[in-house]
Amino acid sequence: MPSNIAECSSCLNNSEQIICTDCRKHLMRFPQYKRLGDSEDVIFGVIDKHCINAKKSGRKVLVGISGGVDSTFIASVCGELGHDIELFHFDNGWNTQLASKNIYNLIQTYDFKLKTYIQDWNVFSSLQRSFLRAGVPDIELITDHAIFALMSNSLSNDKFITLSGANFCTEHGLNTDYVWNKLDIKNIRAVNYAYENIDLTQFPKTNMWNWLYRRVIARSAIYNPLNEFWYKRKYAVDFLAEKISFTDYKFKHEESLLTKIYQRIILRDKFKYLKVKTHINALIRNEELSKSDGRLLLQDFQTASIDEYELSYFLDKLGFSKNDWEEIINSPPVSHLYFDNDNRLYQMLQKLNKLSNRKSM
Amino acid sequence: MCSKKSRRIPSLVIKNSCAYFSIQHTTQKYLGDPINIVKILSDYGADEIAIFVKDFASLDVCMMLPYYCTRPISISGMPIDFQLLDKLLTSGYDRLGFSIKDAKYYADLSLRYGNSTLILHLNEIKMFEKITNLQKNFSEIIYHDLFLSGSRIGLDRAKVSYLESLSKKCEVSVEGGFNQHKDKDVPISVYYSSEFIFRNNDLESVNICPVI
Repeated sequence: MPSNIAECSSCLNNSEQIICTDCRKHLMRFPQYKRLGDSEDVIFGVIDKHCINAKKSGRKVLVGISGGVDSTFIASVCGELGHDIELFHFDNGWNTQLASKNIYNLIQTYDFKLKTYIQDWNVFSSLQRSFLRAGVPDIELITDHAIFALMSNSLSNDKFITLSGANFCTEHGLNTDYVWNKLDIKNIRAVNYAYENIDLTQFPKTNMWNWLYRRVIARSAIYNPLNEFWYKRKYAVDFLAEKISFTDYKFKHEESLLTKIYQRIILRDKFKYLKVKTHINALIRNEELSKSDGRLLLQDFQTASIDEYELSYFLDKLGFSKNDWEEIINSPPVSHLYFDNDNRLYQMLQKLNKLSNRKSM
Repeated sequence: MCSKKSRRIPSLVIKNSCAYFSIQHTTQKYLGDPINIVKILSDYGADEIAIFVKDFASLDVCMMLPYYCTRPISISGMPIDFQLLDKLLTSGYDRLGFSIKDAKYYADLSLRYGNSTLILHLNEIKMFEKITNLQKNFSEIIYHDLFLSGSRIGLDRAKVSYLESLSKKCEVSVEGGFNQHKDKDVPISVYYSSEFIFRNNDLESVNICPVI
């Protein structure tokens, strides 16, 4: 490591300057969230506003839930406010008992209706095997694309407004090198074609034009209410524990075994990227965790190896042998650009978006 | 004297290596990956998990299920092939289920695997009178109420009390119509289609998940 690289003064990142790039970007947006406040009145007010607006326009509120903290928190606040909402869950075959229990408790407490889309396992596992063999970084692209497709094709119509748990405060700072455009069906098709080449009829699909049409012309209503106040994960966990006996996962995105193995083995050992560090840094910048506590949590993550049983479960489910797995982990990483993709179009649309934002400022 | 515990047992139908929720033993609704579902049911602490295999091709995935299940697990629906049955027991299944069609093999099965390993499935309640001499060959006899199977309207109480009277002679269970709210106090063991997480591709119908 060059001598001028040191730990950032605000987070656990290494940087050549006193404050790292992520912290600087965060500093530009964070004060606005802090100004909005984090009191119960503000939080309940924001979510109540969305529910009332939906009711006025004759729509129902739909919340997509994974069993994780953020989405469950939105649904629970809606329940506390007495709104009748519907829940949507995408089951990709990797749910854990803890995630199902959290969803079950939520439904039982507030008597919500739940719609579950169960992805055809043979198609999904084949796509995952192809992605793992290809060595591309974003294997969550398959799940995320399917969710986007379901949201744009079936859910975002004139019957519903969708509340999403995506938020800046606890999710910012992700390294974009490891995240691919979630609407890129061309890339998914190309990776599938290169390896198992299965029929993708049973896989929900969308593309950028369809998404744009839904969002801009059909005016699908998808909101991120957690971006309308200073959202704190700790507050949400305590709230959920009290209201629905929610059980927390130690690290973010560990409600599914797939994401757990993705963060703990694939990203760490193959791509040398600690996604958990990004999440811990986000909590430090969000003033929920001190730097020393964050360091301890990171050490905890680094020393705890994945359970042998869990790994063999993962491999058995996907039909990989231990040798296959070692080969996958030791093979060099490959960019999504290596396969056919929609990146040019995506970048062009991003530029247009930036330009339109500048004009409106 | 210790009282007998009446168990609640989720059942899964395995077809084309996938798990299904069965309605009246004919219609099947897709539930997902059987390994994941069995693991979740096991982690929940289900009293037992019952597997009904529908095709020969699914036996490979069925062999993997007991490894990820810490609760008792039984399998039914496979052909009588002693080599295959040996393999299933070696893979970790606790009990094997057979129908009345396999009657000619009962003595051999009982001799080879012991009575405590065998389960008998019956579709007609009047059959109980005809099989009195066979009861000793099985650890449990499950009556399937085909009309109510896969529904949640509640068990047929008249049949349940008849089965309860039989349960003094051997272990008797019922399947079909179980409703977790209405049938809390049923004194015999109950099998039910595991509506763990229900599919609704059209996104119109509304169903909910775990029933434990």
